[in-house]
Amino acid sequence: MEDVVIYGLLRGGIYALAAFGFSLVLGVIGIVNFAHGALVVFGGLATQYLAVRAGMPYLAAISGGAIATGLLAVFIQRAFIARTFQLEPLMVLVQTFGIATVITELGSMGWGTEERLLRLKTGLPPGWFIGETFVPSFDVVIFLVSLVSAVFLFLVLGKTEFGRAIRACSDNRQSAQLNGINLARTFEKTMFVSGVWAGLAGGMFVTLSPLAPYMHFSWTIDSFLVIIIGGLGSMVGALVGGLLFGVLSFGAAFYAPTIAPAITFGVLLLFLVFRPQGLLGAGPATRK
Amino acid sequence: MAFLEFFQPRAGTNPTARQLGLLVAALAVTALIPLFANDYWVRLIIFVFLNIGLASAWNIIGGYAGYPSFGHGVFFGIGAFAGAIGIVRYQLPLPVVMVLGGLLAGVVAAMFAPIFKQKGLYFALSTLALMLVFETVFQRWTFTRGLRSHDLGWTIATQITLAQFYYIFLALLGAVVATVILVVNSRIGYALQAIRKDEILAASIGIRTIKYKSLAFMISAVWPGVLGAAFAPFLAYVSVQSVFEVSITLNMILITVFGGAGTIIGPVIGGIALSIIDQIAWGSFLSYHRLIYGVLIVAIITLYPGGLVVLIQSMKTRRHARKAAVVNASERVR
Repeated sequence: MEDVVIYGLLRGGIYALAAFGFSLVLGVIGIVNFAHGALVVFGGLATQYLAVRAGMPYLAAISGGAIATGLLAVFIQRAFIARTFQLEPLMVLVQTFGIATVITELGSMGWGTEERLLRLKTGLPPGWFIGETFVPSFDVVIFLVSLVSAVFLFLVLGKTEFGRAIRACSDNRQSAQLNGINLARTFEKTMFVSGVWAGLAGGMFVTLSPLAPYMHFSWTIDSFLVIIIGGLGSMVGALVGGLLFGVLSFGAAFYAPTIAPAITFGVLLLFLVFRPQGLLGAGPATRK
Repeated sequence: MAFLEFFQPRAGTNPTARQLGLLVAALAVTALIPLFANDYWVRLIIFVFLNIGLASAWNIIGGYAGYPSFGHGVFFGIGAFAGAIGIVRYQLPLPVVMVLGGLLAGVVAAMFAPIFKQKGLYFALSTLALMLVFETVFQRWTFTRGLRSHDLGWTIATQITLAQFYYIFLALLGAVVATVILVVNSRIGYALQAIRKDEILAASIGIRTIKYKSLAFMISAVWPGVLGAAFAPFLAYVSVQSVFEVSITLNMILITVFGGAGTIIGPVIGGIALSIIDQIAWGSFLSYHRLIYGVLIVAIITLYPGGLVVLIQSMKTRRHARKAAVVNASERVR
């Protein structure tokens, strides 16, 4: 029991990282980015490529991978989403799904379809025992790093001018524009932040478990599930939701592997029907 | 272009009658195809009919009401399993299982009416969750898994010939499109369009939104059920992997949006266009097949969010404008 909780929490940190960007884009631009999972996988594979092929140290590789993912997200926003985000939500859904397909196909051609993993040597002891459970040291490091980057994101959103602009746009677009905030630029910056954190999640995940281009859709769905559990428009909600979802999915896969997706989605249906605003959501679900 | 009637009916005529007349004429022409096409093309066109039928049914809830259902494949799957189990386990004739499949899909849709508390994206995800839950149940339950306890699907032997299947699916396609025409030109259709434009406003002027949304969901669920039941003997082997595929749902959505969501003719154009593109891509650029698909989807939504219907319309108005400009210029010369 406690081993499931511990492993779930450790994995949950990465789910939370992936969900931050998803939640931010949903709250600020008001769209569901079906290409988000493709960004996560892109970040992971870019990190792996930079570390293995270009021989960069891991820190440089993951920074490069995250920034490349952010730039890709900005390109997607400027070239595609900026034209459609005011239309019906269905349009952006299908459009970003198409974008995800294109990224995945190009990625499969460039990188190949096989699953890739990046093994790191940290020089730490292999792990510790918490009670009966063996906890690998590297998973703990990744978990702590994800918490630190979450705190950093909270500070950026809460304390800086840029964060204030983003929150203003998410509260009321027209008032934000009347106060001299450039909507298009703010949206692009939001997408950049979203992409960077998606890339970080991918770059960390690829050191624990293999990634391949075809996995993009399950990352999108997982991010959405985290948001549903945690609540829309709340970064703390995304963090709590990510950790809970980690425990839930790990527990479901551990105790009932054959029906694991049905359990996860069953819990999700209950959440959607009885508590659509999530655990820590800001008010009722949006009008869209 | 006659089909422009479908979204711009001429004033002073009854749109339902005109559209149904056009539909009958189009079906009559299509019915001649098996006389001079070989088996490969007939088989392919049956798939096109199926896809257009599914997309048209999805269009009622996704296009007209603006509630994108991402789990609509579940109704097709339920229909296909009803067909397979009815034919193999109980030796029922095909028309009976088609009715059963439709009824079952409608009942399941009615059972899940509470998810209409959700809006837009939340609704999309609820329906996706619904589909995954049903998929797992059908795979684990021994009654639906196969005839013997270790089976993982249903093998169906059928006496129906390919040409008969062609006319069955042609008739079903006609029925689906006729349903869409009747629904759209009725009170339900107007209510749905009002709901899509602004649901709160629609509710405030006395439209019972939950009732109409549930009704639309049931209508758009019944037809995939019927199509699924008819498709089961055509497929010859029905399993969870083949009929609960996520790509079936995605195809409904892509075809509708590509052609033009919320128009009668949209899914038809989208289905034909994507099938042609599919054929060319499979034949000539196999490894780029999915890439071409993705690029086209992104391009049409980014440039013409209304789909091919809007593209054709804008080409038409541009041609009119050019003609008018030529007339103007010649008048000025005079």
